[in-house]
Amino acid sequence: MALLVSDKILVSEEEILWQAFKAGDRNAFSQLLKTYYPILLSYGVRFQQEKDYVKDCLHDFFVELWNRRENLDDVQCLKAYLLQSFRRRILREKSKDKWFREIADLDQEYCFEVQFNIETYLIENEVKHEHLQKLHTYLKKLSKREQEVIYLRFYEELDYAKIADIMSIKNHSAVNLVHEALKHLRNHWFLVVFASLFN
Amino acid sequence: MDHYSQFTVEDFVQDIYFRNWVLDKLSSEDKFWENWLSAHPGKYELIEQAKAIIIALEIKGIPIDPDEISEEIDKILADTSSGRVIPFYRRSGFQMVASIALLIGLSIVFLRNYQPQLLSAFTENLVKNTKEEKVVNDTNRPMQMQLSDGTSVTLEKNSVLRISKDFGNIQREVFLSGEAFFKVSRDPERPFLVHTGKLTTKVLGTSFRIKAYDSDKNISVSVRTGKVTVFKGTEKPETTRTFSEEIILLPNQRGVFEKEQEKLVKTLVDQPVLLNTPVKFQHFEFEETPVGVVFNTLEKSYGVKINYDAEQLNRCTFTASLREESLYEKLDIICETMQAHYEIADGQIMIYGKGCN
Repeated sequence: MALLVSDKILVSEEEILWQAFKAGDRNAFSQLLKTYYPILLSYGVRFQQEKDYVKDCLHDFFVELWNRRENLDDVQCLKAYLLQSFRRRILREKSKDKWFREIADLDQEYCFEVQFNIETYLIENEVKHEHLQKLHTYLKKLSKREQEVIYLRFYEELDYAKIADIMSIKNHSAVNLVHEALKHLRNHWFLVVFASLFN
Repeated sequence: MDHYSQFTVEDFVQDIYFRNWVLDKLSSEDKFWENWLSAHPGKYELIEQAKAIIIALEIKGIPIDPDEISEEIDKILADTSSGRVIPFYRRSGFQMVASIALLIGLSIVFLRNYQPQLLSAFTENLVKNTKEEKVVNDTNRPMQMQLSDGTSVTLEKNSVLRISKDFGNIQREVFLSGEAFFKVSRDPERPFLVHTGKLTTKVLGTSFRIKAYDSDKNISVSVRTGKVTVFKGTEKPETTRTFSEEIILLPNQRGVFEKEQEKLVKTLVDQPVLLNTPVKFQHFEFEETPVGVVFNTLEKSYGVKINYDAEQLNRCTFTASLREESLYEKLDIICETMQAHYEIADGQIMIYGKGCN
């Protein structure tokens, strides 16, 4: 069926999947789980290091998704949609634990941890180089938001519009967050030394 | 591609193509960046910086055991199968086993009572990369069928028609590989779309024939009645097409899409047929009739525009009684009497002649 082999149709595979899921197709649900469960799990553990806790959240998230499937909207990008909904859920779950806090409040101080390649390298090799240590300190100082934007941009390879949606921030804020972080890094010219270690 | 020479380090870091090169995700044959670098030696340092940042900012993935994931997925599937929500804190090994047993039980009941195609529809679709009902004509004869909206389709041999799953909801969508004649029930609210590879045909209610065999170099759309819009583009025509790529076809016109050049041209069908016009236009008895009137009659009968230089041909008349001849044969006869000839261009007929004395 050469007729169907075109980029556009392949892209809309996720639309087909979503429609089938909404129609109650169990195979579609199973396919959706296989594709997106790992993505959501690895995103979730950035917010909450306890993996079992994230797994429980994901369980309830997907069960609820299934039960509400008929009322769900059509989505353009399934991955971004799921990341966004799950992000909301996990932040809400966390706020329940700290019941006295407002959600908005919590969102300001939410936790998001990533470990960059370079940090792992610095730690594992106990690098004492002064410049690299400075860089390490700098990376540690990246805000949670910056880390999350970098994660979504480079690890999940999403565009800024989707990142902005997921994090409920303005499009240009997402752009700025990445640009600022990159500009800082560029000033650390000695990164070149670091990169050469990997080549 | 040389917008890259304007790129800053930050731009490079964010460019997917460049990232894939740095992270070794491009195929080894792709030498674009090596070539680009040797063409822009001045950019060496900039590129090295961008590479360094990309590598430094690689995020470490969380080690996740695939078995652990499939176990979790099974739990979710089990807890949704009965249509009941079980909070996670109440799950236990026993409940899990029970729900799996229940799932199996329900599946058996379901499979016995319902048409099995329903359940397996999606799995099958994934394999075949389709989402629709599919009709294959591997017999030796054309196949007649009627769609749910009343449209009738004659599917020629060696052809496949797939009917979109939500056919008729917003629009009526089908996919054709091969050849078919469509007589579409009129419904201006829900356009009827036929997708054939890179070409889409959109109608409201007409009849037309599409020839789109995978092995052919062309896709052709021939219109019998009504008005047909043909444009390049596959799934989402409304958002991707530009108007220059769209042509409108009238009866007896044919759109030919050359797959290789992706070119869409308008011409006429091989055998233009008479339209259902008033009877007076179906009599071709001419006696010393000015050719203008003759052409006008043909235009009305076949719905095909005939262009000629009225001033030059104003003294030409035509006498003959035409009947079963095809449009082209009729034109041949007419042209011969006045030493003219005709050509087909852009779905119209052009008459070239010196005129008569």
